[in-house]
Amino acid sequence: MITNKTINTGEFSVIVFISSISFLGAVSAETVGNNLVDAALAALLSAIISLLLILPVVTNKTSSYPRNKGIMMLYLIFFLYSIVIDVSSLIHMMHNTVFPQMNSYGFAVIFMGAAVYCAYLGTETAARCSQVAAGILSVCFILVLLASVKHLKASYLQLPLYDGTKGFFGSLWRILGRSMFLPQCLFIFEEVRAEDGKDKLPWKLSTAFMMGGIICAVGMILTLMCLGGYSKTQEFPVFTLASFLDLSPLQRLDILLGISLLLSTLIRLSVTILAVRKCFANIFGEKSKSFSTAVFLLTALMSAVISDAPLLFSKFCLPQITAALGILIGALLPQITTMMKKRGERRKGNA
Amino acid sequence: MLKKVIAGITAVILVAMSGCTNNKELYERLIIKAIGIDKTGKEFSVTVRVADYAEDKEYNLVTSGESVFEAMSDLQLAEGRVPMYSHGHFILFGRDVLDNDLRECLDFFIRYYKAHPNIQIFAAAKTASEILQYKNEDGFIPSERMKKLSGTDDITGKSMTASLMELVSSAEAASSFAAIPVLELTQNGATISGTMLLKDYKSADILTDKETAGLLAASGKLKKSVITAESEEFGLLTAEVDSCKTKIDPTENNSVWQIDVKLRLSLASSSAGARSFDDKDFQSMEALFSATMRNYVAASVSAAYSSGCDILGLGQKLYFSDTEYWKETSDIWTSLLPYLSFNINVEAEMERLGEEDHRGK
Repeated sequence: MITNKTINTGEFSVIVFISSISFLGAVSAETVGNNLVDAALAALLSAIISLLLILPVVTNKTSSYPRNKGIMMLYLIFFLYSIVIDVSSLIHMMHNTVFPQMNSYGFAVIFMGAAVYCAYLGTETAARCSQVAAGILSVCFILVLLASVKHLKASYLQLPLYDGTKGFFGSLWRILGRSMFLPQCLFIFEEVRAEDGKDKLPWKLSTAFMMGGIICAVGMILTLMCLGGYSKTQEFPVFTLASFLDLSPLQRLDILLGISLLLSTLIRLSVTILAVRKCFANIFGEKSKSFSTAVFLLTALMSAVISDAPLLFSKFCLPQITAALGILIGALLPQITTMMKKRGERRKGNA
Repeated sequence: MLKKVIAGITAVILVAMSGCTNNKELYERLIIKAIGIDKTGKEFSVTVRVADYAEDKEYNLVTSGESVFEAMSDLQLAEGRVPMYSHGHFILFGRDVLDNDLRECLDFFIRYYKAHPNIQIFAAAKTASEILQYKNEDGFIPSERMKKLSGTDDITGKSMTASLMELVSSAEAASSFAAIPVLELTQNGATISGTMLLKDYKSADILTDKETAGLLAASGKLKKSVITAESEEFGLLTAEVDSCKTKIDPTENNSVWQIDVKLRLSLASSSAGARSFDDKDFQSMEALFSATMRNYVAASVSAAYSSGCDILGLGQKLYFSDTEYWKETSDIWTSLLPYLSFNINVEAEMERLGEEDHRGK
C-alpha cells in the first residue's frame, strides 16, 4: 500500500543532504580516527567522491539499477545491513547521551515502525519530512557554531596527515561507509519528476553533497577546537560539545542536536525501507507484502541486540563493507549495466 | 483502517512510554553541589555537599568505597534519593588522591554521562573533607562561594582556573601537563593559596600565588593582576597590570627558549606618599617591576621544568613549528624538560598620568 507520489529535484537533493550527515552524532576517535583534522578533510573528500560517483548515474537518462534478481538480492543485503548499522548506532548513541534508561528493543521497534509508516506514505512524505529536518538541523548547526566561538582554542588543533596518509585514508573509508547513500539514491531517483528541472540536478546535488561535507567537517573541527584532548575520551564528542554549550536562554544544546539527528536518521531509514520494498517486489513479487513487515521487525530486533552488545557491534557494523558495497552497487554496477546495454543496442543496430 | 491502527498505537505509546512513569520529582533527587574526594589506604572517602532547597542551606554526606562510583552509589543507601550531578559546582581532590594518580577517580567523571564537562576542579592543600566540613558561625562555606574562587584568575592573576574538560584536554595534549588551583583552609575560610602542577595526572609541584602570576605572564594568559616592588627611593610600589603580551621562541636547536614578556602597568600606590613622579622616576619603576616580574616568571618556569612539567606548552609549539623534531623527540620530551634553558626578558611600560607625563620634556 505504498503511496507513490513523485518528488522534484530539490526535494531529492534535500533527502540526499539529510541522509549523508545523519552519522555526525556518532563521530568519535573510534569511528572516524584519532586525528579530527584528517577526518574533517576526509568528510569533504568523501562528499566529493560521492558526488562524482552519483552524477554520471543520475544524469544518464538511460541508466538505472539492474533488475536482475541476483543483483537485486545484493541491493537487498546492502539495504538491510545499512538499516541495522543505522538503527544500532542510533540506539547506542541515545543510550549513552540522551536516554540511558531507554529500552533498546522498545525503541528499535517504535523507531522502525515510524520509519516504515513514513516509507508507506511514499517518497513525497519523506521528502517533506527531510525539508523540516534540514531546517531544524540548520538552526541547530548555527546555534552550535555561535555558542562555540568563545570556546575555540587554536592550540587544540591537530596537524593534517601527521601520522601519514594511512590514518587519513582510514578516516575517508569509514566516513564514506557511514554516509553511504548512493544505492538508495538510485532507487528514489525513479520518483523524481522527469520534467522538473533535471538540467539543474547536478548543481542541486553538488550543493547537497558539499553542504553535507562542509557541515560534517566544520562540526569535527569545532569539536576538536573546543574539547581538545577531551574529545578522545568521549564516545560521542559532538554530543559532549553540544551538552556544555549554551546561548543565554538556551542551556545545553544536546537535546536539540539529538532530536535533529534522530529525525535525519528516520528519513534516511524510511528512504532505505522504500528501497527495500522495491527490492522485495522485484525479487518476490506480490508475495513480499505478506512478510516484509516481519523482516523489518526482525531487522529492528537484530539492531537492538547488536546495540546492546558492544563487541558484536564493533565486529558486525563495519563501515568498510558499506563503503565498498555501496560504491560497487551504487555507482559501478549501474554504469556497467548501461554500457553493456548500449553495446548490445549498437550490435543490434549493426546487425 | 491503517490510520486508526497507527493512531491507536501512538496513543498507547504516548501513555505507556512517555517516560513519566519512572520519573523522579525534585524532592526525590539528591542535588549534588560539590564533591570532595580523599584516599585512605585503598578506599576512597567521598564528602558530598548536597543542597537542601526546603531549608535553603547545604549539608554534607560522607561515604566511602573502593571506587568513586561505588562510594557515590552508596549515597542512596543513606539518603534513599537518586544523586543528580548536573548542578555540581566543583570537584575537590585531596592531596592523597593527587599524589597517587588522579585518573583513578577522574575516569568516573569523564565516563559518567551525567557529569558535566564544565565542572570546576580544585586541589585541596591537605584533605578535601577538611574544607567541605569546615563550619563557621554561619554554617558551612557555601559551595557557590567556593566555586567563584575559580573565576578569580581574570581579576587577580594569581590563580588558574581548570574545568574537568580543560584539565583532561591539557593532560592529553602534547605537553601532558595540567594546572589546578589549590584550596587551603585559613582563618577566613577557604582561599586559593597557589597552583598545583600535574604531570601525567600526578601532583608534581605547587606554585605560590606570585609564581602563578609569573606562569600566567609567561604563557600570555595574564589579564589583570597586582604586583608590588620595593626600593629605597619609592618605598613600596604597587602597580596594576593592564595588559600582558608574551612571545616564546625556540633557539639553539630547541634547547634554549626565548621568553619575551611585555607588561603594561599603571601605578596604584607608593608608600613614599603623594608626590609627583617624572619620566626618570617612571623609568626606574619600570626597571623595578620588570625585575620583579622576571623573578616570578623565572621561579615558575624553573619550578615547573625541573619537575618535568611543560607549563608553557613548548611541546605543542614544536608539534606545529618543528614537526620533524617533535616526531623524533615526543616520546622522550618530558625527560628533556629539566635540561631546557630559558632567556627571560620582561619589559614593563608604565602608564604616565597626565600631570606626571614628562616624556620628551
